[in-house]
Amino acid sequence: MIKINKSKKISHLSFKIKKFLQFYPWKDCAPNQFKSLDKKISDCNVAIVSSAGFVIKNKQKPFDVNDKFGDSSYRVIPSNINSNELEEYQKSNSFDHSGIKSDPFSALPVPHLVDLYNEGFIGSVNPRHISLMGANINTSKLIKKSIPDIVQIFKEDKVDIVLFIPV
Amino acid sequence: MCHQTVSLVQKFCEENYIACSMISIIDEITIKLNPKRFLSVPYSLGFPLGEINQFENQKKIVKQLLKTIQ
Repeated sequence: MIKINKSKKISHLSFKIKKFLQFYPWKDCAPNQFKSLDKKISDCNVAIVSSAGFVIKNKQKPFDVNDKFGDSSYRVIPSNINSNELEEYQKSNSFDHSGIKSDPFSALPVPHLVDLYNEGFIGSVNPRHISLMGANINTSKLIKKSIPDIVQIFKEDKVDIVLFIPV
Repeated sequence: MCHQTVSLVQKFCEENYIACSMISIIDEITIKLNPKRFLSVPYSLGFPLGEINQFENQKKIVKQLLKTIQ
């Protein structure tokens, strides 16, 4: 078992990463409009977006880890996926990849949602989830191409709640 | 940048009336990004739900994340 360091403060990151993050042009991601949830969680259809860069082994194209601005494409991961079918392509060197490699569902918790559905805590597990590679420096392609597609997928599937799992 | 990537998707989902919540590993970054909802977790980057292969503990985090929405 891997020992987890209980730290969340930016001050615990390496000097190089801290410097990079200090001058990083962060976007304001506050939504301009939103609606409060108008039904119980136990009636909601739930999907996941993970930034772990998972693809389905031998079926989906790997994320381009050599793209210096970050690969802004996405992959659709079905709910019935097995953990041994997932392969990680996350180019970031700012974290330890061993955890998500050995336990992919720790960053794409689909079986956890299935359990919560079986317990009646949520209404359903959406059949489609989204995998992104989080290390995007140039976000314009992400905003113009991938995000509209992802939103459309969730609207088609009548998703009520999306859970976001950055790594 | 993982936090920013998912926060951007969150913004557009919320603007299309899909409720969202995200895990926050580094709160200093999450606060700058200003997503509508998040759950702060005391774990390191790469371990968003805590220790690996600890299904029940990870499920508790997912449940807490869902509870931030209602």
